[in-house]
Amino acid sequence: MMRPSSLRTQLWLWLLGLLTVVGLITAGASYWYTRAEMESFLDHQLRQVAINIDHVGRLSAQPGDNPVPHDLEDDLNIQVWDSAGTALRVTKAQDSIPRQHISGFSDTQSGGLRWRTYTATSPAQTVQVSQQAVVREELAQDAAVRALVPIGIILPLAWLLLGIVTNRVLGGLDGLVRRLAQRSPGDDTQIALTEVPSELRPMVAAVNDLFGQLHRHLLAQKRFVADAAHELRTPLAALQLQINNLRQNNRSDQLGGRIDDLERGIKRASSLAVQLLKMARYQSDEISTQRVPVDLVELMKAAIADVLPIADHRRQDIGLVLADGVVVLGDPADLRVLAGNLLENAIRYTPEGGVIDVSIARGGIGAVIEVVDSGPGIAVDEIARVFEPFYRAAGSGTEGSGLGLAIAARIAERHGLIIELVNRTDRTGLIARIIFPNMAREKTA
Amino acid sequence: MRILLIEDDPMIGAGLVRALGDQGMTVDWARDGEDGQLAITAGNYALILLDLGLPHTSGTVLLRDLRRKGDKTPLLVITARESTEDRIAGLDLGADDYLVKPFEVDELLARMRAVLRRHSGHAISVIGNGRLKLDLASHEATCDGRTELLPAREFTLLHALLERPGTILSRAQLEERVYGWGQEVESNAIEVLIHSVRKKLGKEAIRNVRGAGWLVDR
Repeated sequence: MMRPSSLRTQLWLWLLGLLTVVGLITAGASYWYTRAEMESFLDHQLRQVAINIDHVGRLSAQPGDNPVPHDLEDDLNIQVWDSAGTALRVTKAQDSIPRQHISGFSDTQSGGLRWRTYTATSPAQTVQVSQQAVVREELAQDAAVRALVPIGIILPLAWLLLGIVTNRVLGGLDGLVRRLAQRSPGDDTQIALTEVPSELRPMVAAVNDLFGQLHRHLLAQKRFVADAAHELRTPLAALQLQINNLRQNNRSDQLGGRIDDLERGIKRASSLAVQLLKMARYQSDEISTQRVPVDLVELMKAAIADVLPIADHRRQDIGLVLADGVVVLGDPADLRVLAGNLLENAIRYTPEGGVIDVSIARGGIGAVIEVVDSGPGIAVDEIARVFEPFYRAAGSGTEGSGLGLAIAARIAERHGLIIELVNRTDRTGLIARIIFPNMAREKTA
Repeated sequence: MRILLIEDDPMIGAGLVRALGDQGMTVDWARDGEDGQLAITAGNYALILLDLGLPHTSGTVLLRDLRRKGDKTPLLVITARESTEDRIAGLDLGADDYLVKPFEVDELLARMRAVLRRHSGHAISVIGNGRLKLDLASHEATCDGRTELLPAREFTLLHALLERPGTILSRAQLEERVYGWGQEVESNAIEVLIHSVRKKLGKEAIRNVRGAGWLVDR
């Protein structure tokens, strides 16, 4: 059997089992005691009847006098003999039970029935009172079963109460669990120890400590990335200067091409350093995101102008196909980086001579910016992964930093925007969509 | 032309001295803030290139002191700090421009020229980018060696574009500049003007971005 992993279920099952065992033992004991008690009571009754029969063998009440109709089987069988052995009286002749010669209790058989008999012998007479064993057992059984009734009621009631109590006690944990589940990695607030049960305090204290450490590590890591990228700038700037100087003093055509290669390498390293800094910047919680009106058409025009040189170099046609006047609230610099990264991505994956269409639309869900390229598109299983840092779509062979979409995703997250990547259905190509939910305002001229 | 370079990094310093020397400039190189301050009091420089992250006296302190003393020598900050706040702080302290490492020498030279032009007082008379120049007084435009006198509307159009090279202006924005606001304009009026300017200065002078508008190169 699998061990139940829930503390609540475990506790409940254990308590349930324990309670049931205790209940069953109590029930068994009380059943057994009640039966025994009943037996001894009935024996006592037999004996009382036997010794209270007078010399003439008469009971104070005649058997036939009883007005209440009843099962004859329940009646006692009373036999009296005189000293000579003559039967003076027999209540039920048909059930003649053999005479016992010693005083005391005995179990006898007669007429196919089992009897419990008490025999009282004296010099004058012998009195023998018998009762059917079946009757006695029935009586004992009934009494014992009646004794079980309270336990039978209490036990299920206790189960129910147990469930409610465990739920209530452990319910105190739910609040804690919810708080832990809702924490973001950057959250460094401590959980107040006074709010948790004392048993959990050591654990919560340890968790608090761990959160603190995690937060410090995250900060240190972010700072390290930012510092490292920052430190790279100066040597990269120096390299760029030296390449420039080399080119100035170069008279050989052969060397020119190699200097170009070298310069491309430096530029790539420089842009990686810049992207790393941006990534570190957007990951840190230290910077705030402005909320000022941003005209999306102006934003996209500026972003397109920024990437025009690259698009020209690749002889690509980039243009606006739809420009609804929309104003959203956001940080203009951040949104420009976001739009620029999507455009650069489109340019990178669109072959030379391809077309990139940009549209800005206002719809029911808010404003939507679309960048539609004519590249190869993207495999569906890769769509989520391209937002991971340094992930490049398979077989792309491009020279991107691998950070563009990761940075875009961070900016979108900070602004509460949605980025969607979907393949085109009319031909190959990718549609990158930025959705501004419920924040589009019609531009007032 | 004498330039003062205040930069602590030996590789950048040596590279810049050589690059600017190749352009025919004389460069004095101070390796920390104190040396820089001494050099400023001693010499008469056309322009100062200042790195902000200096040992001893930081570039920020040096810049503030300089401007407090009333010294208006053109100054261009070169720094590894990129954030907008740093830029604004640098410009508020009195820097004329701001360049973030790593940079290209051509861009540095262009910015130096622009700063010098602004200081010489001729800045407002001629605007332009690398290939295209517009004389605001005479309404003459020069492109790739060709000089043409532009009629008023063509001049206004080119002026609008050259004010912000590298910025796309939409048809509506250009119409507003050329014809004023709320005036009835023929739907292809801007295209006609642009066609005319291109005929005079060459097709490359103004470029179009499909659906977005027109711009001149930065």
